[in-house]
Amino acid sequence: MDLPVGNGAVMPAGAQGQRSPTESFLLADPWHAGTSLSEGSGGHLPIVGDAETQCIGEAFARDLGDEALEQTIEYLIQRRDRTDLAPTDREVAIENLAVLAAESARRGRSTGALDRDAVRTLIRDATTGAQELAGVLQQLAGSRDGLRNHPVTERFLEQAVDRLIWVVDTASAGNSYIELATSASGQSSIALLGMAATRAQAARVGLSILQPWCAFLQLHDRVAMLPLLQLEYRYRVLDREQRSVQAVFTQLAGLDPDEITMASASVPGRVAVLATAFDEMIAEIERAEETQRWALRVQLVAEVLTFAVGLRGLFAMRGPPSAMSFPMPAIAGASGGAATMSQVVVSAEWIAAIRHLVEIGAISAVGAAEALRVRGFTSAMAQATDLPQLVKDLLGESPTTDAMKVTNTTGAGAARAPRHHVLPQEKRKFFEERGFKGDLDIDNFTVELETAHHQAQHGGGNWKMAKKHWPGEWNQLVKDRLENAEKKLRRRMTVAEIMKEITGLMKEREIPIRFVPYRRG
Amino acid sequence: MSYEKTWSGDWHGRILERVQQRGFETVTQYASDRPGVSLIALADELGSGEVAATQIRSLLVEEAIRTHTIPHVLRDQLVRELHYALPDGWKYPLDDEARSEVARALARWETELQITHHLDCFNDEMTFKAGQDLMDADFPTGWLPEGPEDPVIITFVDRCLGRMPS
Repeated sequence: MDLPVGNGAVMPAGAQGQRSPTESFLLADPWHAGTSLSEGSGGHLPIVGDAETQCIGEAFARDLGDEALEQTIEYLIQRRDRTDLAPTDREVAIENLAVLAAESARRGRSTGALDRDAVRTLIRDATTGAQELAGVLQQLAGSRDGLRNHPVTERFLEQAVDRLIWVVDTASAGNSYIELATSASGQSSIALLGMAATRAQAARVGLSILQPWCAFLQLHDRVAMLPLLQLEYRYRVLDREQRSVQAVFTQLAGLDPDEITMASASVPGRVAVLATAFDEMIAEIERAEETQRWALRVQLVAEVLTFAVGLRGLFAMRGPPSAMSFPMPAIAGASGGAATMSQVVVSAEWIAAIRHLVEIGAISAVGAAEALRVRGFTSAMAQATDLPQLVKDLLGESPTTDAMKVTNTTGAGAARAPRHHVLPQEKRKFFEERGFKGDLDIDNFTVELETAHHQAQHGGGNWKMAKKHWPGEWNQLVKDRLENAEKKLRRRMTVAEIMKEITGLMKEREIPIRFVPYRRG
Repeated sequence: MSYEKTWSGDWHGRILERVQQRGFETVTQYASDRPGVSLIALADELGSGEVAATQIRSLLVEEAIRTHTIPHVLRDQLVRELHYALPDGWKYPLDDEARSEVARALARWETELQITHHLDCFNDEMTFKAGQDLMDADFPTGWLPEGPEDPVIITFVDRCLGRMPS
């Protein structure tokens, strides 16, 4: 079969004068445009002269002041990520980084540079995953005789591309929060990194369903090239199965940490259903082959089936016990089935990043467990890591249990705690003028507080002060504090300065600094 | 949930009890023993995740009203805010970042006491002028007020209350 293979596929662009949306996306290469993962080469810091060329010891690390430690870590992270350096230089950076990270842990204070690096690892992981899938979609876009030979099936390819763009955009949005976290400190910085991590996780969950879906599309692409199955049947199957993919992305769209965790928990079941549909498709192909043998070149059908065996592995890549018990495709002579054993593809760096973010409180243990699970991590595998015990324990439970926990912490369904804007809506324009728009829209900065519940429970008395906080008194306080500061300062405040004040106000009232998106209705 | 825990039940009594366990009769006495320490740090000391800084401020203001020592509590709070804003002390002239820290510290001080705790003793115009003068003040490098009796702070707060000609 004469299909372009791999990322080097030549794009059939411009043949008809105009590119389809699919082609435009693939040529635009969005992750190179919007995702800056390294922070440039950076200047030479005099203090790190030694750390640059030779391995430093613990004693060197102990002698560094807090600020110098932070700067050196930041500098070494940049060096580690520089592709123009010799591998040995980068290895020195990695080793020294480990020494300094240990020193930072010994001092018991989280280092902003390491915190940000951990979130960047998550974002990079998601964008790398997206890049791999882009290769698959690029291939499909290059094949004009498959899904693209009819508008009703081409639509599925375009929608898959749209979803991948969403994944890339979402992961990249995390970078805005990291940037803001750079100029914040303490809990405010951690809350912002949590928002970045939430976006990386949403992107990852999206990929976890998009990946088997693309395998499904690949199979359909091959099948569409042969007069095996009717267009109407193929369309019906695609339309039915795509709803499940749509459901995940709809749940992710709000970027609500709880919703993301629930979407994530639903993925294993959905992949199982998709795998069944995949197997049914294979069975259909085999049946069709038998009845239409006279009309087909048998060799082509055999090729499709062999191709399918390779794809089938994508459904087993994630490893919850239930997903691993899928019936593998029973294809005559397809001994390659053994190669589709479940495999976990996560890097040690990624696991270390997850651990770090749980430890500093940027992501919850439930969120971490779900992030690991959706990558095929089992409880047994987690035992071999230095992940926090709580995360290991949560991995041992079923996804639905975790999802229940999520709903329970906030009260299930309609009884959920109301969400309040920390940056008052009535002053939306004020905040927009100071940079709170796009990813930093004030709707992304709300907190959950069970005020109604507490008003009822404690009514008056000692609760009087707390219950006044929202919305009237809080809004008044924020407005007056910011306006007063700007008047004294004789200029507008920056996003970072406003965030500092707001998180300070929250801290003074022990309002948990965990931002979730606003939920209407 | 620390928020629920912090604000549930008789938090006034709870905080007073913890202060007394540490050998002080009032919250004012306890706080006076640690001049310049932020209320957030004091809240952590009295019970991390169980006591809020704003609750301590509330008790300090209540005690000040009872003992007719409002100017003292104003000075005490201002000293804490300035220490929090410039941990390494003054540097003349203040650069943009330090200026922003001081401006925000003054805004916090004024609005918290005025809005949350309903102290309407400030003369708005005088407070603004005094703040501008403070931000332009040529204090020695590293300077920070030692406590509520620091002469700079006494003069500053008196001006904010409209007690002295500017």
